Amino acid sequence: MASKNDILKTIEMLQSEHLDVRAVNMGIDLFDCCDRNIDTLCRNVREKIVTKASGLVDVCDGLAAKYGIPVVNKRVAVSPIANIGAGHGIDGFLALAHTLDAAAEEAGIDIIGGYSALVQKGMTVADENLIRSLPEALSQTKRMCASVNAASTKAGINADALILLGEILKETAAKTADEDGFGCCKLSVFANIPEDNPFMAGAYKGIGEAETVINIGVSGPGVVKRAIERLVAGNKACDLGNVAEEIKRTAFRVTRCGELIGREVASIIDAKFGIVDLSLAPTPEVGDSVGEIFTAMGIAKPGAPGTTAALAMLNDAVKKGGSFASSSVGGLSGAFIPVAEDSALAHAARLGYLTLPKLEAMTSVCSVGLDMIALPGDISAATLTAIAMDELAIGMINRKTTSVRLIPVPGKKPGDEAEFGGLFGRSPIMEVIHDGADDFVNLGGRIPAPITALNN
Amino acid sequence: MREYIITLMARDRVGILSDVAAAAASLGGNITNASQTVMSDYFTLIFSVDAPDDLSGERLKRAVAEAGAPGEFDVTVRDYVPREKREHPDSERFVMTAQGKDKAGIIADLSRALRDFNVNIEDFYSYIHMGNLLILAEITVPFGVDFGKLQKEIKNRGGEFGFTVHLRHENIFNATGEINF
Repeated sequence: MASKNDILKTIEMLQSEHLDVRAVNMGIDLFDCCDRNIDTLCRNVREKIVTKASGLVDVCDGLAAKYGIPVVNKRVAVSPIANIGAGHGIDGFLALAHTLDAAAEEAGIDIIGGYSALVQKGMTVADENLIRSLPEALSQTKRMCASVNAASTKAGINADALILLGEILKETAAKTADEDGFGCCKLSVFANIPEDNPFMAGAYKGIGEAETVINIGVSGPGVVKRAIERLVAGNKACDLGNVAEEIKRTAFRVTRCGELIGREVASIIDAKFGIVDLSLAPTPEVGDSVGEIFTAMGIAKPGAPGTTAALAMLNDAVKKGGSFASSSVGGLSGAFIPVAEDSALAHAARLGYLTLPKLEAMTSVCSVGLDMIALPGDISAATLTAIAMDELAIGMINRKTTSVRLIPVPGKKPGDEAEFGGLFGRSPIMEVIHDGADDFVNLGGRIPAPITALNN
Repeated sequence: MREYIITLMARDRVGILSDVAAAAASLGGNITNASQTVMSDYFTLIFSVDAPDDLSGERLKRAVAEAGAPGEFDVTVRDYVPREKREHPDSERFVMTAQGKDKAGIIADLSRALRDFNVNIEDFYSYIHMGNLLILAEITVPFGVDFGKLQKEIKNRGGEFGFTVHLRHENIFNATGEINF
């Protein structure tokens, strides 16, 4: 049994620092649901998801009571739907989208991911059908998230897919114009997408994963922020090394909590335990912000010079602590900087400290890219494609995951505010350079895979 | 060989354990298990002694008491009688914490609630810090007890005194406090 001091330290973390388990994600394989008949396919998909996932919420709530740790999000990710629906047209994919949405509701799950296509080197007919169905699918469903992997270090960047996705983002925003283009909040476009990521919108059940698998997202940034604040307040001689050490220790503890819950959920529902994702995932709530961690570290305005260095240290220290705590670390495992979902980051953007170029620089040292970025409604599809190409190039060259979740907000311009509601938050519309890249983007084709030996 | 369980209480000073252990050893007694604590300047010790067959409990008690100054140690000695069957053979360990402004009766009420659910308290620790009482108890909850009901009852009882009470499975403390789990 742990010593009284250890017990008291853990209790302090649980009660005062609001430690929680951010996401329990159940990956469900759907390949055995495939059928030539779309009705049969949809029925199979619904039955499998409802059968597997119906108990998930109760199991998580039971363990939350047993350990006194809230489990915030209980979610499901399925096999890439582009593969499951192959052979069916755009209408077939739309039927699958509605099926996923209804099955999630029936199982009591708030968000389901996996409406996904992996197109880093090229698109199949099914991939293209799924992508073309996205404006309808995202505007007509509530709980379903979509993702597309359009680049990888091994394959390069599929510019053709990104050109199509630029148009798709514009159409999706137009179809959800009365919600500030909310449909785009449910679509992430990736380079090097992980197969075991528990976080939305990019979660899908990888083809190399087990039949049913539980992946865990650990506690949010609030715990780290409070640990740093406590350290700095009580220690005048505190230097950056001390801060990194404190982050490591905190990451160790939150990772252990996540793995404990994940392994027990997996054992109860007879699934494989997959990974713990160390990502610090903020929510719009005050006190649950990566931006506030920067402030605790001494950067008064996130986005000011020094922010990239602070983020690099934070990200690395979290990985060090988490890797020591668990041999099952995976997913994205880095700090997220989703502007709309993080009230301190959104505020810094409002004040002009956090700009699109600065965010792009920051994503070179963390996950997960230009995330939840509200853009002017009159932005062109080609400019959206160009922004995505820039971001995915960072992932491709640096052998890491990056993604974009870009929201062109119809009828709004820089200085206006977009409101997405709930966990998706609110954000000012970011300034963007509109022209200058069209000819480059429209060359299309594929940026070849990079050389990985000469790496300066 | 016989085994005794001995308790000792005294005002704390340097060297109590040394004096007591020497007294037991001088009679051929061997201390096997021991637990001591100091609270508010008072020292308590509970320990078990393997003793030769001809060493009576009375003689051992006298020797331990005389290891201190006259009247310094309160000592009790009992023959150790092993339990035939464990009272809680199938149970899980939890940690109960309670925090709030100190009020007479809170410990009595919480411990009664635990007893009503056949929950044993194995380790209990409480102290007052700036007018607030912190209680930390390691408890064993028998399998079959409705944990949700127990948790609700404990929270309600504490709530009536203005206390925040939590029950958490020991695994969470093992997971966060130890390198291996």
